[in-house]
Amino acid sequence: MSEKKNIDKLFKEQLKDFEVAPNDAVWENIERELHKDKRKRRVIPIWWKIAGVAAALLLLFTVGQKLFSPNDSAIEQEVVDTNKSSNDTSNDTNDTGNTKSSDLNTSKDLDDTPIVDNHNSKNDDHSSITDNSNNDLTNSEDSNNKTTVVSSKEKKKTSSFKDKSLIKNKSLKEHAVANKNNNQLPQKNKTKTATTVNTNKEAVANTSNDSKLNKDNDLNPVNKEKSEIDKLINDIKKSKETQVTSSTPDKENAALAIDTSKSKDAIKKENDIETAIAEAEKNKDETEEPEELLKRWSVAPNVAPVYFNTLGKGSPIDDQFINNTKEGDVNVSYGVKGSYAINKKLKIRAGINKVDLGYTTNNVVAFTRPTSSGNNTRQLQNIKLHDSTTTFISANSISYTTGPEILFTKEQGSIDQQLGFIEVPIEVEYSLIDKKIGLNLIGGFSTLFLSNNEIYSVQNNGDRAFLGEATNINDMSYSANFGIGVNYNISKQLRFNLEPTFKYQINTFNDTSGDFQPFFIGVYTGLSFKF
Amino acid sequence: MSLEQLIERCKKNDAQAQSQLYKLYASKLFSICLKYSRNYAEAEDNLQDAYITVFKKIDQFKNKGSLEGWMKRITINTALQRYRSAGVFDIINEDRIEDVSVDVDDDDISIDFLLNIIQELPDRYRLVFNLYALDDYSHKEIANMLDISTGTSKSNLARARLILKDKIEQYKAKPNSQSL
Repeated sequence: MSEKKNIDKLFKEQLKDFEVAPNDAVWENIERELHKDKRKRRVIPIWWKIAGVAAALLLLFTVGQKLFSPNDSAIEQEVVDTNKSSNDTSNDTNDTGNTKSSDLNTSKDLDDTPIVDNHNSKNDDHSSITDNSNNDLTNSEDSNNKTTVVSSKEKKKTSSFKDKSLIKNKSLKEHAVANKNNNQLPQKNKTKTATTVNTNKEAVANTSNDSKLNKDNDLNPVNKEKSEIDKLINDIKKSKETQVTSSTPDKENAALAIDTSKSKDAIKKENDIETAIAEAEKNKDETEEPEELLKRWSVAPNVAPVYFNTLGKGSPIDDQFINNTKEGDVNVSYGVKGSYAINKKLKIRAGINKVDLGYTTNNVVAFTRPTSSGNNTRQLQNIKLHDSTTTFISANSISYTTGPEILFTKEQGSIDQQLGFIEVPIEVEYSLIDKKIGLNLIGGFSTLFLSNNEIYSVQNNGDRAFLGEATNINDMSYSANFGIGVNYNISKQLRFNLEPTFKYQINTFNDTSGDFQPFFIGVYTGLSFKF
Repeated sequence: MSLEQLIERCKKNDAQAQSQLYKLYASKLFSICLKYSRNYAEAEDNLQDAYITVFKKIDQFKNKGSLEGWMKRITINTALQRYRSAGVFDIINEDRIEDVSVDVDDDDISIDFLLNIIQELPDRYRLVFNLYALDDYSHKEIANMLDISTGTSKSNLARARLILKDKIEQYKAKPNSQSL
């Protein structure tokens, strides 16, 4: 028997068929390791979705804010433009007026009043003129140069009317300061500089003529700033008073004449201001209303991540799962809705959405029972099973001492119920803020038509098996909807919507165990087109 | 279910298929782990790590060659990795001996005993002996796998053989220790 043999050969032959079954614990460890991985992977997407929604919201607000402020300034610029247009038109006449006044000033002081009338009549014309602007910067600059000449000439004149000149200088200073500020603004738009130049010129023009102050008032209503107008009215009154007091006795008659004409002018101006404001407001209303009226209808495709869960503790599947923990799934809903604006504040909207909902009942033990064992094991009350050989038991209801250990270590899983609905929402949208970024409240209800009804068994390790369908889901159910809508107007026709909406389901299940109150939350995102 | 189907399902992370695949090869692969490891516990750890690698990398298995061979290689590599990362290959530094052929009496020696004495070998001797004598790797391949020279591989093999021979002879001299 004892025969020399190569040691390698000995080992090889002996160990050739050597097989040892490893301990079951090894597989359990492997499974746990793989499952742990799966758990991680399952959790991450949900987090990503939530984080994604949060990020989208953040982005919306930051981008919205950024876009909002420049647009605000754009509106301002528009206002400036209208000013400028009227200023520009008045500009030309001022040019002629100034040159005239400068000529006249050298000749006679009393000639001021006719010029005043001249200017006023012209200014009135300008206030009625709405557009046609000479954007020529050089032109306005030229006029500026002219006016400076005017002012230098003016100085000579002001020496004779000392008190008056004081007021003039005052006003000049004020305007100069204003001009300085204007010039300091970084906006180097042609239009802007044109307007500042205009105001410059106006300031100088004012010094030539007190009533020109009135003219300045006349221009200001275009700015639609009542406070300034009021201030200027006061100024006018003040200037009138000072003029009355300051007028020297020897020139009393002349001064009185001037004053009366001025006061007349002032009154006239005041009236003009009021009418100008009224007209401006009228114009504003007229221009805006037709636009609103034109676009009552809008259509908006939308998509939303929807999260399904229950408010109460219960199970639509079976009594035994009442106390099992349930996890809502995040699914996707998409659809389209149309809306009709009853008025500026209120919209009625309706639509159609496809919505998938799902949730998981955890801690369910599933095992396949031999077909011979008969029907002594109970079926789940609300499920029509596809394959009736599998039995499900809530892990909470069996104690570790009665059941085989394998149940707890290997076959414990969950039941995944998937529901699909066609949702027809009818909602009312009330606008709280209606600007570039709008905010509105949404309330209404949806009719849900059942389109998908599936129940899966999910093993701890991620293995899914189709179980059957739930028998207790109504074909038609309802939901009460509440939401907050944030929207951003990309253009007059296009609007971006973001609507986190809570939908409380009513009458979805006709027989639930415990207190199962399903709801879903969706962040409806979409673009709406007005037409 | 065919092996191809099983592999496909494993690629899809099907738990049932994974369990089946595990059961199919567990014994074979565990025997490899036992031979390459110091003891039973280490072999278990090795098997676990090997299977996790198998399931994670089954996507990369392109049905070229046998699945068993692929899984074996993973298992062996897992074992080698363990010692590679522990740095045991650098520790042994001895004079080389010639590649010798060692003959022993072919008696009824229990597998358990043989396994035992393999496990008792110093790590590198054990690995080289396993790779060369039991799993048919060449010295060149072994040298590559263990990051040693072929000379070292040959020397290690010779020393492993001598140690094993000693142990077998001792064992025969003391039949009482058969309970091993």
